[in-house]
Formats: sequence, C-alpha cells, structure tokens
Amino acid sequence: MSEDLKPDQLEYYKQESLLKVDYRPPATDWMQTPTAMRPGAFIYSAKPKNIEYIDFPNARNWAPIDEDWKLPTNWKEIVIQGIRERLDKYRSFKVFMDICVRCGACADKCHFYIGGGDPKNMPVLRAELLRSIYRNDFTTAGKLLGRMVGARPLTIDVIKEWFFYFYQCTECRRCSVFCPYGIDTAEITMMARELLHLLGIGVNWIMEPVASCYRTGNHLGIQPHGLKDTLEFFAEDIEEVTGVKVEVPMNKKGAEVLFVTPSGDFLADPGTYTAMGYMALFHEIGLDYTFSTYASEGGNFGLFTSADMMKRLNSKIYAEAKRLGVKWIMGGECGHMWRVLHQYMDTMNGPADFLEVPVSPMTGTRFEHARSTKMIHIAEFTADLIKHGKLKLDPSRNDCRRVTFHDSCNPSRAMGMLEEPRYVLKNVCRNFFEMPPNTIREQTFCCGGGAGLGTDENMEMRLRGGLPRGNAVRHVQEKHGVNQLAACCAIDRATLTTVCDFWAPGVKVTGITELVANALVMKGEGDRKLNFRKEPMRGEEDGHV
Amino acid sequence: MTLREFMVQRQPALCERWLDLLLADYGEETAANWRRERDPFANPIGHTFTTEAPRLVEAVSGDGKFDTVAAAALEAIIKIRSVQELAPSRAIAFVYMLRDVIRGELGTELARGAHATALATVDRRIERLALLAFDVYVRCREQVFRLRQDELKRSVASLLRRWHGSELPEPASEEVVHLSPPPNHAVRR
Ligand code: SF4
Ligand code: SF4
Repeated sequence: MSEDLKPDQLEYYKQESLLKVDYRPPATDWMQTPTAMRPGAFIYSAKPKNIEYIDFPNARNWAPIDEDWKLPTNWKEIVIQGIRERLDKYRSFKVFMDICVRCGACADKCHFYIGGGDPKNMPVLRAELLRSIYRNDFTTAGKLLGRMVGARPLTIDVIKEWFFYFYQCTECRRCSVFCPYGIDTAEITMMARELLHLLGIGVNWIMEPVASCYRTGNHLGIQPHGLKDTLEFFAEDIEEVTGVKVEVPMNKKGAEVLFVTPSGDFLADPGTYTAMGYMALFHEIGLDYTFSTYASEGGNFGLFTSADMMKRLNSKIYAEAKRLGVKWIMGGECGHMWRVLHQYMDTMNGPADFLEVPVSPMTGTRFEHARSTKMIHIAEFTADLIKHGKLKLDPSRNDCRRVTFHDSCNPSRAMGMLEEPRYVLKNVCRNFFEMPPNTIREQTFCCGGGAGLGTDENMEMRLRGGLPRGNAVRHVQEKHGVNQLAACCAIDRATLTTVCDFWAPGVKVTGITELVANALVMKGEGDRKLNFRKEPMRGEEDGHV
Repeated sequence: MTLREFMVQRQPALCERWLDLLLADYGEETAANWRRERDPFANPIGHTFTTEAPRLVEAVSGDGKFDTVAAAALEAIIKIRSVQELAPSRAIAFVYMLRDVIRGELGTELARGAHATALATVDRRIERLALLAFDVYVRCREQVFRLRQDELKRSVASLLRRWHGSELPEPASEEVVHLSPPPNHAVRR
C-alpha cells in the first residue's frame, strides 16, 4: 500500500491488499508433508559414552538437525530385520499393525494433538508412520499396491520422522482407552524406539539415566555415599521441623521391607518433601525397612528404551531383595515404575519365590494381588493403615491446601490404582476437589513429560502436551480455589510444576505422602509450625509467620 | 445504524470469519476437529478461541472495556500460540486479520467510504491490540525460558540447599506479573 496514506484518509481503507498474506499451510497428504526438525520439539541426541556404556550399537556424535545422521551403511536391512524379529516375538505388535480400521476414535485423544494440532500427533497417524513401512515390506497388498493401500518405502526421511514423532509420544496410553480394538499406540512407540536404537538413534535424556542406573543403581548417578548423605540430610530437616529424630536405614540386611522409590525424590523439589514424608511415616509406624544403594531407583528408563534394557535395570530390585533377605518390597510414589512392576516384572525377572506375600505388619492385611510380584505401592499400604485406624491424623493442618488429584498415567491406566490415593488424600486433607471426569481416572491427561520427554530443550512441546491437563487444573482453580495438585509420580512432580506455572499459575505440586506427613501426628513431636518445605504449616494466616 | 451497531449485530458472523482465518493455521483436519468438539476439556483450544474471539470483537467495536477484557482474552489465545510451532509474526497475525474480517463481512455497509471515521477508530484499536499482542507474546516466551531455568534448579534442589542453606531464593517465575489477574479464588482460603 502507499506509504503516504493516513488512517484518517478514505483511501487508506481501500487498500484491500493490506495484509493479504496466506497464512495457511499447504494442504498436503501426510506422506508428502516433510518433517522439519524444529527446536523446542526434539530432544538432544544420546552422547556416545552413554550408548557405549550399555553396549548399544553405533555410538557417535550426531545431532537431529544434522543432514547426515551417520547411520550404518546397511541401516535399511537392520530396520526391516528388526521389524521382522519383533513381529515374530510380539503377537500384539503384529495385531496392532493389522487391525486398525482407521475409525478415528483415538484421533483427538492425544494431549500432544489437542495442544498442538499437528495431525501426525494423532495416535492413528503416529502409528501409520510405522504401519506404512510394515505394509510396504510385510503385506502382499502393500507390496503390490503401495501408496494406494497406505504403504510407503523406508527412507532416511522416514527414520527422521520416526525420531521426531515417537519422541512426541509419552507412552501414556490415553488413546488406547478410546480404541474399540484396544490398539495400544504406546506399544507401537516402544517398538519404533527399539528399532531406532538398532541404528544408534536415541535421546540423551533417556540414555544418560539408563547408563547411570546401570552403573550406580539410579538414574541420577547418585553414588552410595551421596545417597546416604542425602537421606541423612533429609532426616536432619525432618527433625528440625517435627522435633522427631528418624532413622536412615541403608542396605540393612534382614529388614522386613525393601523400599524402592524414584531417585528423583532424592534430588528434585518437590519430590524431596515426599521422600521426607516416607521417612517420617515409616518411623512413626515403626516399620522395619531399608533403603538400598544398589536398587536405589524405582523408575526404569529402560521402559522407554527397549524391553531388554527394561529387564536389565529392573533385575536389580529382586537381586537386592534377595541379597538383603527382606520379606517383601514396597514401592514409592513413582509413575512408570508401576507399569514395569505391574505388567512386566513378574514374567520378566520373577517369580520372586524367595520373597513372601506382602503382609502389613501393622494391620495384618495380606496384599493378595501382589502375591506373585511381592511388591506393593505405598498408597495401598497407607490407605490400609488409615482404614485400620493406625495413623493419628490431624487433617486440619492441611486446611490451607485446596487439593486436587492428578491420576498419573501408569498407576491409573496400567495399574488400575484409582481409589487408594483418593482415599488417603481425603483422610489427610479436608478440601479435596476432583477435576472434570473426562480428565481424570482412566481418562487422565498426561503431564506431557513422561516416557523420557521430561527434559527442558523440548519445553514448548511439553507445554503444548501439558495444556489439556493445565486447562483442567485451571478450571478447578477458578471454580474451587484449588492451590495444590497432588500426584504420585516423580516425573509429574517435576513436570507438572512447570505445567501449572504456565497454565494455572498459583497451583503448587505435591506428593501424596508429603500431605500425609503434614497431617501425621507423630509421637514426641514439637509444635509443628513448619512443614517440610519450611513454610508455615497452616498457611500464612494462623499467626505463625 | 452506526458501525458499532453493525458490529454488534453481526458479531457471530464476524467471529466465524475470524475463527476460519485463525484456525487455518492448523490445517483443515485440525480446524474441523477444533470447531466440532464442544467439550472445553476435550478441546481446550477450540473452546478458548471460540470464547475469547467475541470478547476481542466486542472490545474493538468499542465499549470502553478495552484494556481488561481484551487483555485477558488476548492472553488466553496468545499463550496457547506462543508454545505452538508458529513464527512470532504468525502467532500474532490473527489480530491484524480482524481488519480484513470486518471489511469482508461489512463490505456493503462500508461501501463508498461509509463510516470511515468510525472504521478508523476501530482500526486504531486493532493496532493497539496488536501492540499488546506483541507484549503478551514476548512475556509468554520469556516465561518459557524462565521455566526451563526453574526446572533445572529444582532438579538439583536438595544439593543446592545443602550448599546454600535453606534460604534458597524462590524461583524467578513466581515473580512474574500476569497480565490478567489470577482468579479471585486462588487467593481466597
Ligand atoms: S481408535 Fe483404534 S482402530 Fe480406530 S483409528 Fe485409532 S487405533 Fe485405529
Ligand atoms: S500413548 Fe499417549 S502420547 Fe502416545 S499417542 Fe497415545 S495419547 Fe498420545
């Protein structure tokens, strides 16, 4: 338009070309839509030292934005052979490749699609990225008719596209809840990631924890003396705010219970306060338990890598239980740990015949459902304590907290633990509010940072993926004044803090056991003015400030 | 009828046109999905866009509530777009598009320079809105980077506490002033 026209001149408004820019993306078929590696949406590649440490192939320096990913020359054969082996090994994989009718029921159920709108984040399309190769090389129709039946040949661009989109799936399984055939896209993602690892393609945020866990027993690489120091430091903090000195049992042979929790709880806020909560609770009830430095990780980033890696990391838990001679195992507030324990551990590294069926020494309750794995969740254990009146609780201490509960994907969808956390929460705080029904329980929305996506270089992707959850939190914040989100998962405690800061500022994240410990009236305690965060226990209105 | 009256009367049509342009950024399939699903929790973006667009149209058509209402509506939309894969110019372009939308929808009414002065006023408001959009966008982006820093600090918090004692400074993001005030309930106990 002419530069010298002014908005108060009539001619100015006749410039219909003003901002006549077409902002629309080209309408291409998905197979023709190229994948651009966009910052904020991919995770940095695995460092060679981490790949070497666990004997994975093709350790090298490379970056997703590089043109050349330095793949082995026979990369194509490796992938096709990898698919063949997995089709033979996993019947579910074969079935999931064959039976999708593309009904679309799953299409708008993924948080990454809901928050970003990229069609390739629709679960059905995510699966097609791999299925199209399966059709091309493993089905007669695909071999004959190619594109017409949704088949396409394997190229380097396909590999890059897999990397981009299978690391935009948190393996949360929300989509599978809506699929009439029960197709589990998370398992398809697992297969795709395994195939990528055959070529040495992985992300550092996963492979570093995997290598660390393999070396030191936990994802964060905390060494035995470091872990002991950390827990002793927690004990000092607990004593400072409660006046009660708690023990720090480490590698204690003959203890009744081995306690395993995600290592995130040892280092990262707000998980640290939940870890203090475990210690205070176990002290109060006099549980004969022990931490282990060898099995110092409840989480298992092997699950996000490959079935074999998951098995290697998981084996430490039973090995340590055997070495220490405990009777049974209790797990802390971790998310994906429970998919591993509930769905794979028993057949993978069990049966743990050398252990006993978990029986609560306080209530005598026998946890029959864990008679094979010999491992129970702390929320089940605590709920049972409360049900039997074994805890002296003062829920009014949590009155300044208006709490909602986020069902972590794995404890809810993979384990079915829906009631126990709620039962515990309702007994330790008096202001509890549910988020809308289509955002909780089986239909819960992922935090957007699970399955090894919880790093910071992909923050935009995580915030998009966290939008549906953040939106529901914002809703209960506006409607009920909710200011605390409780979650029984270490990844959640890290990532949802960020999600809430962005989408529902003012809502803080907490673990369940932190709230239990607030309300727990301990023998010999002093005036509980402060909570473990060293904030006024009853909020700032009670004159303690 | 004044331009304002026309805009009020035709607000639904104006919003429809505007949403078409806004949603076009996401491709046909997604645009259709986000228009179809009415549940605010199943479809938070479609819901936000459809709720906030009328507020912005209302604000530029002129009722004196420009700053508070428009700012909150604008923030809701731009916050979403600030973390999507859109260039900054594209993320806020929808504000400018409102000018085309008004001219397209009210073509007959505006023909031959009718309502030129009123239209100039509306245009000036849209320009202010665009400037505001720029502020909001940058604020959101800055927050994204602050959140990355906060998260890194939290991830090693127990170590930091041991080094610094318990007087660890609060994360920076807690000091961010939000354009729209937090809901009243959030501070009520
Ligand atoms: S819901 Fe199941 S069958 Fe339908 S498109 Fe999705 S994966 Fe395929
Ligand atoms: S498993 Fe979760 S993240 Fe992956 S496609 Fe399904 S809904 Fe999306």
